[in-house]
Amino acid sequence: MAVASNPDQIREQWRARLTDLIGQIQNWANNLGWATRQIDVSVDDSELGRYSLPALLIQEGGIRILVEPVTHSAPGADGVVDLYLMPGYDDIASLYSIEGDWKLHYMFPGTSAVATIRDAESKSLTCDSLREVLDEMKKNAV
Amino acid sequence: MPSKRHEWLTRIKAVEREYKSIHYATVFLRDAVADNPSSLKGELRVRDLDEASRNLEGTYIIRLFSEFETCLRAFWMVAYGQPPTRTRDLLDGVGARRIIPFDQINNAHRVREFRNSLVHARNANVEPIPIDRARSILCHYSARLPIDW
Repeated sequence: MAVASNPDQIREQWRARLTDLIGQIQNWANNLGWATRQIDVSVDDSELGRYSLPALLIQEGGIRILVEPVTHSAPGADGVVDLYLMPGYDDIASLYSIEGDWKLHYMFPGTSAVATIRDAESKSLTCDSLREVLDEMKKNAV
Repeated sequence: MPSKRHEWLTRIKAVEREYKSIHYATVFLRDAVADNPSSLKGELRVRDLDEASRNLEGTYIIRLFSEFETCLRAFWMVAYGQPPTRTRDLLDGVGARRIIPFDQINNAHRVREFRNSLVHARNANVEPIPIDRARSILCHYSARLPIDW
């Protein structure tokens, strides 16, 4: 198993960035009328070992969305967080951190269909772009 | 502290994620070999790649179901003691005790039957289930387990 040269520092920096991100999304979601709850998830990383990170559950009525960290590092990104529709763990959207800025990848209505969420149109993560995703979830709820 | 249930859901999802990675790598390799057939080294042949690609999703559905079944057996062991031998009885038993809706139990059985058709190469009439649909079905079922056990 490859180990980062300073795994403790990388882990803490990643946790700090995630804490900020999760806190921001939680704040926006609450203001948009969704209930939220932070939870801990376990991550098994080939470089950083096994550790826990914050994640977020967002719920309104019967719709439950999980905002879950995936990795601190990926090709072209310095952080990946996925959004899933629970309980099925269905892929909704992805957040990619590009040089510290979070980009939301989602198949927004009116955009071309693509094979993967990574290929979907991306927008900067803002309260408005988050609201678009949450509104689509409400619209598609059965 | 992460909950047991969520850890198992994550493990089921991780299998699908791994499949997507390998699928991507397989497509990439097939395209590379199509451009340059001599790049395939050793005893490998293009037909081996084709066969691997064709069987890939089924292989991962078998693994997906294995994670799901292990989760149920682990839960049953803690909650009720020795689990049923037959997976069909395990699904029905957990379903009854956790009051899982019939459609979710039936869907899980559909995945089980498809998995059986892959493992035992029998019953070609079983409806294939894409891995993302299988994962969704098994996660819906597993979400009915208690948060911790």
